[in-house]
Amino acid sequence: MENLRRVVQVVAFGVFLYLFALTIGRYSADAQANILTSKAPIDTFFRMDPLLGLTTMVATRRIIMVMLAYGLPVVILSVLAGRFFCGWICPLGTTLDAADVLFFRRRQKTATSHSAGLRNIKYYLLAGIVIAALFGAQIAYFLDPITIITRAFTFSVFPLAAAISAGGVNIPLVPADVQYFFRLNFLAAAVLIGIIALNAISRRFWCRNLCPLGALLGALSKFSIVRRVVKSNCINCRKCIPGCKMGAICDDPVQYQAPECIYCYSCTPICPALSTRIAPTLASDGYNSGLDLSKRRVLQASGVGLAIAVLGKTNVAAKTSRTGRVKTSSPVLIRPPGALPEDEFVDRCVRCSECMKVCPTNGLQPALGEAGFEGIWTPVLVPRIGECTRHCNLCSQVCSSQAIGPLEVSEKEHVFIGTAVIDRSQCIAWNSDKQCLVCDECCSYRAVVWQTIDGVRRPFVEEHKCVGCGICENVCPIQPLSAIRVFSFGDKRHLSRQEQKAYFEQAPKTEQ
Amino acid sequence: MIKLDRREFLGAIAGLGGALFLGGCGSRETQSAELPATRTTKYADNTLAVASGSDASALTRKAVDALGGMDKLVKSGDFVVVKPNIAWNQPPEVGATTNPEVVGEIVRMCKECGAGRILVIDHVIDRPAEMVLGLTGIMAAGKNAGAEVVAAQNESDFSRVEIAQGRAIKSDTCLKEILKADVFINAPIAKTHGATTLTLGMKNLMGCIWDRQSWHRSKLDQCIADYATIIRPDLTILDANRILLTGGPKGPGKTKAVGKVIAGVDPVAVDSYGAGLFEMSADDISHIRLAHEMGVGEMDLAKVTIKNV
Repeated sequence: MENLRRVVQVVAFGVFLYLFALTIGRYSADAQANILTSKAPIDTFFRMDPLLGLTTMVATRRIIMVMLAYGLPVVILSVLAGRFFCGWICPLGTTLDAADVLFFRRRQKTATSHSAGLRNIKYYLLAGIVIAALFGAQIAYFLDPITIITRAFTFSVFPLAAAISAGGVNIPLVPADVQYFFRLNFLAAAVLIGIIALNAISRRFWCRNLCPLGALLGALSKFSIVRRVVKSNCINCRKCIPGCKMGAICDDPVQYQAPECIYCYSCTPICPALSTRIAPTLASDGYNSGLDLSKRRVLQASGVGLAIAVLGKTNVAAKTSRTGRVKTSSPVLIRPPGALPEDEFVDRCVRCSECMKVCPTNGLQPALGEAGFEGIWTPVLVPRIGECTRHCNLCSQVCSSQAIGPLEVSEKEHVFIGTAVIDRSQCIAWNSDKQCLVCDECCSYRAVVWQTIDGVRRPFVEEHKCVGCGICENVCPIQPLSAIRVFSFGDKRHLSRQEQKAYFEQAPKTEQ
Repeated sequence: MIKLDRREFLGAIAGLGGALFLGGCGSRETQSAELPATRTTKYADNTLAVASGSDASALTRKAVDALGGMDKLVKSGDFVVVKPNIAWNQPPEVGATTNPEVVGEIVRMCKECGAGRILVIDHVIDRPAEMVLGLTGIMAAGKNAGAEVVAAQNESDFSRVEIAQGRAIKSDTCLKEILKADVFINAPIAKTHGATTLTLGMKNLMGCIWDRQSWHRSKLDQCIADYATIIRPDLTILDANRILLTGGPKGPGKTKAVGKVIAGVDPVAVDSYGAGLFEMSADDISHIRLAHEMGVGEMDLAKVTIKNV
């Protein structure tokens, strides 16, 4: 079984990497637009993740069918077979197991690491996350293992692969024509490396003590019918105690803490008397399903969760303009087209970073402070890095929580994400009579037009047509700040598509 | 386990570093071999061939044949570079990019003359480049006819060239492949343009440089004329099957079916003829006039032989 588990782990990790690699768009001649290379749901792992599913649905008070359809089977299996996901499927768990073999072989195997104090941290974190979700703030993304590893891969590994690909060593499914750069790439990598480094203290330190997804699955496993059973011929050699990755076996080796067991089957082959097995059973010898949590700590954690939720909602980033619609905090908070209204968007977005990976211009970047604390790591369009290109809706195709809703390429002409503004004091067609008009030239929606004033053609923006794609800001020859910039005030996410279309149709009909 | 002492280790690092340093020195290219402008022209300099009709690929062939045939220009084994206008993410109907049938026919004609490598290349503006090549139909047309189709995307695809006669710019960049080519064919489309009023042959050469924005910051029309003094295509084939009258250069806008393909060696004469299609005079298009003044070619069509076919 141990070997089977290893094979499954490798296969699951392979699938994860493959799906990650497939998270990329290619031009399709049939669709005349960019489509995903894969018809398989490349966000399968996110859909399966019950922690993300739970917190997103609770925080937004909505049923998200894709998450339910994939997450519910995992929940049911976990009720029956405990934290099998951690031991067999989780790509972060597999990474930690691999890191053990590669880097931490000589580490002393700590036998006495099942200290309840450390171990309970993950439950407290889970409590905080769930309470925050109840109060309408989705913060699971910060500690969810699937998002942690995907973010690290997108922000840190993928740009490196793209650089190698561009350098001539062609890697399949990695674009060679766009060099990707991401903000916060250090932070994303540091979180993953930090988690790996914690293995120096004990094996699967993260999974034992910190992982809120593990805590959720552990809590579900209370009635698990697959259990570790030690027969009466146990010779009390205690080899299984340090052999357990999770330190789940108690001082009395017959006893184990069921919510900690990840069904890795490490304890069965090392048992010299072959008295240990893991099998479907209802025998309750040695089965400790209880969680010994401190009520005080749960309350404390809930308080922190509540505080985060409330602080998020009272952050200046949540302040709206006088019309009550647009956030006033950041004029450059430009969301991808199809994104839900801001409040719902930050709660739905699980920060998986897949939209940023597929963005063919690299313009989608993780938010730093634009959206406040609540919005960290959410996608924001940075036109100076890359525009939202015309014939593309890849980000809406990959979004597992549908924070970026479905969007047809044909709708893009009336889905307004911002509005461009010309800074005439910087614009060389205005301030020094140059023949520029690069913005007019490149506009995909013919929203930038020119008029001859004092003998020189000068650019103007037609607001009814400008959707805020940002290509003008990207190509403007003025450095370092563009003389035409996109601001979020034209964002019309609060309007329905029909209303936005009606607004678009009021556009003055000009020909030139 | 390999045993390596400190001395050996440092030695190895030094050796590797030295090799990388020397390798880096070698890869820095400075000046190009031969500029296209220095080649002797293969066709009569003062002649334009204008083919009229409705079948874009047949017109292309008729125009080149009227000029003297592609076999005069392309010899067996030649490396041919074709530079269409494929800046934009627009399907061919919009008229913002060179008609793929024209590009395909040019490649086929070169192939028939025994050309070796044929490369269709442009420095595309819209992204992603793969989509631009696909949506414009150039990838399919070029490949089916037997050419490589490439969108230049990196600064390393360009090298620096001096512009001795330049008035606004004394040097700029050019696609390396164009400098290496035996034959360079410019295949622009005729359309309107915000900044330069029209974009025809010489304006299309702006897609050969890396930093387009610098021309806008400088004097755009003068830069176009300056550049035309050194990058002179062996042949310009102007696609005027369908011209974009409004909303240029990217469109969409009003198009007009003109049904013409114009071939010529003199880039100024080709552009001057092209201006006429928009009922404008070359004199009104500053970059054409400036190129004429700098001696790049002849804009007075009275002095040019026009073969209508």
